[in-house]
Amino acid sequence: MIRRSHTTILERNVRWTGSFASEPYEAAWAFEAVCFVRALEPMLSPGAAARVHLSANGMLWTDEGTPASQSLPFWAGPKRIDAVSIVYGRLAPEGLR
Amino acid sequence: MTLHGAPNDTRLWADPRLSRFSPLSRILFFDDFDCGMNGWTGLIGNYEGSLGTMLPEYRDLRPPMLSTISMWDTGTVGGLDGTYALKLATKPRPGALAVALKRLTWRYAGPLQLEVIFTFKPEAVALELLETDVRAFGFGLDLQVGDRATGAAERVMPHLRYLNALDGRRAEKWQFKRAIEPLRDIGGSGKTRSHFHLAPTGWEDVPRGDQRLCYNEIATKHNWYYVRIGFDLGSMAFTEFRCNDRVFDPSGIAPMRFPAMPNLSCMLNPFMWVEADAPTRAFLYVDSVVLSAEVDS
Repeated sequence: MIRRSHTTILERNVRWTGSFASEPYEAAWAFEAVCFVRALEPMLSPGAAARVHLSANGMLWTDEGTPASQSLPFWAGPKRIDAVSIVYGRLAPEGLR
Repeated sequence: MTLHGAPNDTRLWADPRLSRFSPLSRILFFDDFDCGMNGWTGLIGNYEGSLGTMLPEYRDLRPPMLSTISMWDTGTVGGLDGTYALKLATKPRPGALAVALKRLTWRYAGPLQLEVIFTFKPEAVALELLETDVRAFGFGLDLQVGDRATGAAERVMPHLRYLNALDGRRAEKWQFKRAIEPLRDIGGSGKTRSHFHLAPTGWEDVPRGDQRLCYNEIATKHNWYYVRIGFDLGSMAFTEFRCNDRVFDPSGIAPMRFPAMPNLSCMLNPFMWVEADAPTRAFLYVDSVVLSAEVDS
């Protein structure tokens, strides 16, 4: 059996300013996720950072736990997240609870 | 003789999941979302050069996902069978839409039939019924004639939606749309155009199309429904429409029809969508879909 994978676009053509969280995406089937961020225009605030949130129901969120010390330009490369208990995932900036 | 869901149709007994449906003689696809996305993807508006050229209404459409239908109070529901259903979720904003579609082409200008087992609910953000938080969900086909068609060179789009609520009031009726939205040029090359066919304007009531569905009594309980839509690619007209026990007169409903577009010959794209009526995410879940046809041998 060839390993299965799935790619989704969590957000598209969105201007991220201030605190921002992507819409929830269910991924109970996933053992791991690799996140990419693509800037369509030059970023005005290269110091932004983001991290992964997990949720059991899409409404209450907790940190996934992977250190998110990288800034967005670095983070725009692939980032691997191993999490076997994802039900919902979303991307959120530092500081959003 | 057409084995239209007859009890002795051995195709249906070969797979009990298929026996829930009444397909025409040729099954074009049978998608059970326990087996993945099966080619259903999000709808994106046409663009040229920049995503910014897309019609604004298309920018926020949310893509489908595979859902275990997990509720905060009772845990995982799963599909009608198996674990997963296809889920469409809007953003939490009145009028927000999520759309899924699958892209095929057709090979015989004859009868088509779309059957869907589905349910809908808003996100259970409050311990209330929330029965008016979902505005609508719907099913459609995006069709175009072949490049050697002898009749009118048309693109045809049958649309049917269940208007559950509007501006916070229950509506609970089926509607169709034949009104054409403006076709706008995209970019500057003259190659691409776009129209927002799911706009809130131009919907008409299906005759005797009021129907109260089994919404159930709290926001975290789901009951599965069945819908069947028959459409003939030869006459480009509806031939059948039913939801659960209700059979509606197909002569009272009509599709959008407008001149064919250059690059869409024989297009056959089934699609479905859900729309929010409140600042709450609206969800449409689909357990399985069958598209079938009468195909010449």
